[in-house]
Amino acid sequence: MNTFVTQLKREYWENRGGFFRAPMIVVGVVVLITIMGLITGQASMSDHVKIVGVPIAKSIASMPADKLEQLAMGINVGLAGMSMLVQFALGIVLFFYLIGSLFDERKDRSVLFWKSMPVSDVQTVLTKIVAATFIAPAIAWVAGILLHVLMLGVIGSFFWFNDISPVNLLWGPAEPLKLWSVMLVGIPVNAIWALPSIGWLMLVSSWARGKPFLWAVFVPVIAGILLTWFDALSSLSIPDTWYWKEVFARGLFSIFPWTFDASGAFRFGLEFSKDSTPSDVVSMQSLWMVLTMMKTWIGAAAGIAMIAGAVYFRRYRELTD
Amino acid sequence: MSKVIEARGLRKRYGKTEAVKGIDLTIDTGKIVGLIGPNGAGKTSVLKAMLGLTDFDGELSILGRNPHTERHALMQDVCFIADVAVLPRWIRVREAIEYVEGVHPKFSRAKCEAFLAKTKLKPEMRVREMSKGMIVQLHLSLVMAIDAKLLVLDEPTLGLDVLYRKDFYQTLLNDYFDGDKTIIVTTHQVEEIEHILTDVLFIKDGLISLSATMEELGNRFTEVMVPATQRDAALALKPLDERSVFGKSILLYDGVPREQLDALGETRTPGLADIFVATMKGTYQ
Repeated sequence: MNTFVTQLKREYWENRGGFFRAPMIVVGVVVLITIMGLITGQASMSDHVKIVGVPIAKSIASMPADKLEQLAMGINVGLAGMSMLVQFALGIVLFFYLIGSLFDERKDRSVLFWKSMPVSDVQTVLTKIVAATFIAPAIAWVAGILLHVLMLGVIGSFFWFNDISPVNLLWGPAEPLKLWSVMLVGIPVNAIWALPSIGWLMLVSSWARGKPFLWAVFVPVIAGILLTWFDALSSLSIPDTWYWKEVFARGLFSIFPWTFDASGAFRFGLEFSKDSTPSDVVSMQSLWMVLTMMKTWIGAAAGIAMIAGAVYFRRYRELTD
Repeated sequence: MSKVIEARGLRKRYGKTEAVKGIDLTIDTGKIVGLIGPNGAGKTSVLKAMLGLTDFDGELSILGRNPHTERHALMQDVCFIADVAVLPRWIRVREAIEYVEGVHPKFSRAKCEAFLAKTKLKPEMRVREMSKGMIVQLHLSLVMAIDAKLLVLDEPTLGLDVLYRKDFYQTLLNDYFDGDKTIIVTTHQVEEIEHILTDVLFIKDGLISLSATMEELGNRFTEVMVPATQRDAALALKPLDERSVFGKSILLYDGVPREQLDALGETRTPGLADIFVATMKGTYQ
């Protein structure tokens, strides 16, 4: 147990920049841009805000129930969208973390130091997976909460400053607690969903003698192109769109949290379709759907097989020198 | 004395070239063994096999374990510095200590800190900010604070200046080594380790070409400085090597009684480096 905790600390020390600083930078930048925008807005329409503000405040008080509901939805979609910014940054961090996870130590030869310690290769690979699926996401989760609190505070203060009650208009309808609990439950669900990507990236990282990024990306790209080509040549119809979606995208990019298409709300590349919103993706229903999809578990099994491969290469791959 | 290392017919092949061609050796507890050979002789392959870093053919047992299949269990009792400056560049002194303390049951923080107190290293320093010599000091401090049974050093002082090198071996001998430990060391700076070794293994073309204690070595090899007049008589005794200095010949003999050689000229016990050069003649031709 002690070994495991120490190993996790080691991962954190090495990747403090990605695990901690990156999400905090996103939080800082978003808050800063918001503050700048609000100041600009305040300056350019300082004469009108009172005029605009008063009717808003009044109209809130006399708003019909369905309108209030829409307002609440808008706010919660906004909050979920903010979380997605942090989650997207987390995805980028994890992608590169995993690609380097078993390669960098061979490149700088520090693997000779790590291997001089009584830590098994299985332990090492598993700690890296736990770091990628729980430690980094937990930090990003906290960063998301921080972002929400700061944004609700900043925008609330702006309302306050303009004599609009932030309680009625913003803090009351916002449901951050619900969102935070969904995000928390999402951590293990995303971990399961991401297994194929984790497996593939770590397998390449443990195997490649150089350029792990190119191997990780171009092998699946070339496989896809060959598949499309065969498709065109033969009457055999291999479903290549299926390949791009279920194998290529999941294998490479499922490490990006919340990229499952459970409720059809998501398009690849974090693009939301018109009828649905971040709130639809970040919901208990969509998490539950992920767990009930067959392909989630087939992919997870493939991921675990590739992780076993990564352990094998961590153990037996020799340094070339 | 118990056996720390036992190898029978140890072989290692890289593609078509055989780097290690069937080595038999036994190393007992309490020895400091120098594994000495020219570049490409197979030293590193042998050490890597011992440390579970590479696959091999034949039998090899380290402290009764197969290093290839039981590496992580073996590392409880075996420490190694496999190369110079392999500590990760991002790590801080403080973190390195905490890490080893966390994963190694036989690590003593107090010992490590005592070793570090003799250096200029500070807890917050990162490896990337250190000179090569300082990195080796850190690595050695970490390793010496582990109560291991076997320490393997593969060119631990490569690229260090002579002050660091002297200090390295002094510290190792004075503060670490005792009768329960065993050390295997490879280096090209043969002269610098000669005085600390108890045993020596020469390796040439993937085979052990000489295995002896330092004492045996002194008895076996003799160097004679003979004047030109005695040269023919000296050559008749089949020296291993001949070099000339100031018009005199210096000849090196293996297994010729010293009394016999005393008659030819001034005799002395040759240095390890001279024996090495003489026995490795023709390696690169």
